Amino acid sequence: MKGDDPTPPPAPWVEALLVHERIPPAQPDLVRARLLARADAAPRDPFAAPASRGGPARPWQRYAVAAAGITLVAGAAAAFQMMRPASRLALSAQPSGGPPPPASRPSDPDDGPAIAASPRAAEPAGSAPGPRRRSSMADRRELGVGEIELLERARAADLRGAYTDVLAVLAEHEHRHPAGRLSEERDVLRVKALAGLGRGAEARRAAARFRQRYPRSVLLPKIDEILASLP
Amino acid sequence: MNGDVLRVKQAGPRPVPRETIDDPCRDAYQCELDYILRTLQRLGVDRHDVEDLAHEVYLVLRRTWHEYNPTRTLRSYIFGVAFRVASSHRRRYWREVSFASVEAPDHAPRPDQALDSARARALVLASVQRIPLLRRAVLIMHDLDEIPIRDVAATLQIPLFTAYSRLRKARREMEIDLAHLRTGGSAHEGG
Repeated sequence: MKGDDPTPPPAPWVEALLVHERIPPAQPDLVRARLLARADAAPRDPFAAPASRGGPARPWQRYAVAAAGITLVAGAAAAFQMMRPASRLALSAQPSGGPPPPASRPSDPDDGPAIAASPRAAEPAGSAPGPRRRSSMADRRELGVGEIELLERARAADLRGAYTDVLAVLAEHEHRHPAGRLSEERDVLRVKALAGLGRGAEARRAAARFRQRYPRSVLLPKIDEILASLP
Repeated sequence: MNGDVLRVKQAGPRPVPRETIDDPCRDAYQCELDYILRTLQRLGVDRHDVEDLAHEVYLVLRRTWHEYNPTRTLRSYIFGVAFRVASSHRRRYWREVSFASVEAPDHAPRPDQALDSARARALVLASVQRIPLLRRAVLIMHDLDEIPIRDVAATLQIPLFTAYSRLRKARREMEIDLAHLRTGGSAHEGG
């Protein structure tokens, strides 16, 4: 490992300390169980790329994913109807035929009460409501989940090739989360959608803005790949 | 330094239960959970936020799993995700790591005193957390995770020369800081 390292190696006594830290200490089983339970309870992405490293999905898995997707969409539509009067969203931006917005739409932290609706969206169906101890960090995390929902809608539209829908959802994301954690992913999707619509000049401008904004992004190769596909 | 400390068995990922074998992303998360949590700590995430951010790492991993190139080490990919999550968290909520939250030992050992593993880890963690984040990331990946420097540079999207430069500075900072901690110092002069 150090063979390609032209810098002076750590002093022997430092190396003797480092060797211990190279082994991540085992976390308590309770912590592991808690985190794995959260991972399993996280909303599944029914539109995830099927190129699983573990081999093709089995039929029952595909059916389960499809059923979960339908349930999510139906539930979201019902909840959206209930929330509609209070909705501040520009519905005109919602493409006809596209998936309805999620049931709860956590907005920016400054929006206050809207945040309270967000945690339920991340819970598995059928979970009983009840008092929960929530840290402020957990609330912020749920904001991230709200962002993820929007990006998932954009990705779903992207996979369908509905690039106009992608741009509409991304515009909504940018409006609701102008400095969101997933801004990088959003901007990559925008470049891809513009390229998909044949708006090459706009795609290149968006790519240039991306480079300027995220000069060290790990997604730059993806941008290059998209630009390379332009005529 | 006691020679015993060098005979540390490399701990591999924990075995994966059979029932999760069909979800490689979830399997990877389960196998590398200890590594993810420790990496977030090394990157300066407050211990009270570590679990929440580990979950965020999982969400990002699942969303981007199709982009993972299995010819590269899984840990370098995970580190890239964890680094972005921790950096984003830091930009928004980060505050200087107070000494109260650093797992520094109550009593610094004498230089000639053999350090047990937990104490050695605590010293290294406390020292690493004082290195500026960009340099710290290189040092963690290369000196702790033993990821080749070219992969480090690729993961962090920096030129190779920059990676070496950051590594050299970070090593120097850590050595000074460790020496200070070992002799019982607690103040930190700059980062």
